[in-house]
Amino acid sequence: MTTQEYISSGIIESYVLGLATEEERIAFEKMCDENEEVRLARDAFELSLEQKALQSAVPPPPDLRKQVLDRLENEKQPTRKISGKVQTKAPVKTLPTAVSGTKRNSYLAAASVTLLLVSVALNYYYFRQYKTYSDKYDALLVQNAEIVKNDASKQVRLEEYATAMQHLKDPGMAIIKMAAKGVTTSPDPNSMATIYWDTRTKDVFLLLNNMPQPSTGKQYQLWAIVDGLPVDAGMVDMSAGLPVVKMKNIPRAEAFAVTLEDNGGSANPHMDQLCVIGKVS
Amino acid sequence: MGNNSTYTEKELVSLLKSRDSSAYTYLYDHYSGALYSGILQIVEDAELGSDILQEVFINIWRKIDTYESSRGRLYTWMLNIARNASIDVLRSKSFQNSKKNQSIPDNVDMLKAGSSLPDTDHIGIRKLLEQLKTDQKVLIELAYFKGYTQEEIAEIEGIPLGTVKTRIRAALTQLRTIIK
Repeated sequence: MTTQEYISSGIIESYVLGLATEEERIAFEKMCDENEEVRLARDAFELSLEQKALQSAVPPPPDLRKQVLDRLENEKQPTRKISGKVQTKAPVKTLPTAVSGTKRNSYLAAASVTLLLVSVALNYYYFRQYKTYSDKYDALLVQNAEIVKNDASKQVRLEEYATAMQHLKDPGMAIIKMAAKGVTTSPDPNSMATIYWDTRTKDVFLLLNNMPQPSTGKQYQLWAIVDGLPVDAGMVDMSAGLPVVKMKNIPRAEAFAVTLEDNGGSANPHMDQLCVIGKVS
Repeated sequence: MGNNSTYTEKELVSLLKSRDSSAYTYLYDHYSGALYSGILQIVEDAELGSDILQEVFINIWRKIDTYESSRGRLYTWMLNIARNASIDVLRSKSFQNSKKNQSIPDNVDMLKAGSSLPDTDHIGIRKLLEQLKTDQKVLIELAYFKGYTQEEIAEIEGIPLGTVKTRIRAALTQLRTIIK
């Protein structure tokens, strides 16, 4: 193919109008570099194409000019310039921010997890503290209730003591001392008890000055000796621990005695179990 | 707002590459009409054409460093940007959908009677089509204005690839004599 044939083959128009294949384009550009005649023919076609286009120009809408020029000015802004001038660098530029964004998010995530763990730990700690103090408070409440109860019972005891003292001080009381002296059956020769006998009401009060604790199943029983015969004057309840126990009303007696009997007492005293005895003076 | 200064192509390209504002103003004033015409011959829609023209200038600004004067004139380079942008729009989904929504008669009426759309049938490359034989006309329509490759055209038209090449070349050689 001669140069002239090549020039008039349609390759120039095909290339200039963008219809050539990649292969044709590369071959044509090589030809232009090597053959000035081809290049001049291309220039000539391009120039006539451009002149024809300028002649048949269609003016775009007038306001478009400002829009386009303004947008081009915007392209000048540094941030735009990066994406425009060095286009391949744009994605690289955005990558660090994306990474640092993710990094920052992961810091935030790590921080929030840490805070959560700290919070859980503190919650547990404070709950334990609360539990401890709550338990202690409950214990104190119980203790306080006990104290109040004890206090009440002590108050009762105190009143009983006061009442007892009242009887002891009372000048109308006859005092009969009962001792183990000469009583061979007494378990303890030092045993002693006192009768306070109200001369007006004939109420009998018993004070155990020194009496051994009776063995299990046994109980002290007070007897009044009236006309030589023993009369039951009541069982001594030592469980209350009172100093002075009120016994049965005894209108008349020559003597008082205490025997150790089975629980609940006996109708007649076991004289072999006589502990103390005292005569009414 | 006219810019009275004139540049040689070499000076203009150099200024464009240094992002000189007045050079771009000159470029717009000098070439926007020719490029707009080229775009309208493809998309046949004034509003869409304006959008494309704007994008073309942005692309010129961004891609000017890739322009090599040894490979052709600046206008040729710009025209190819404009043609590619127009064909991209033509092939875009949104454009295809908007076309489907118009009935054909309406479409024709709009194209012919629409005051906003200049008559592009008798300008530029389109003018060439009138003077071609029907078989060549179809091929140039598909290749240049629709952007199909020669392989695609061979398939669409059901003719051998060699025939497509020969006919297109023949049609293009006629173009040179017409525009001279």
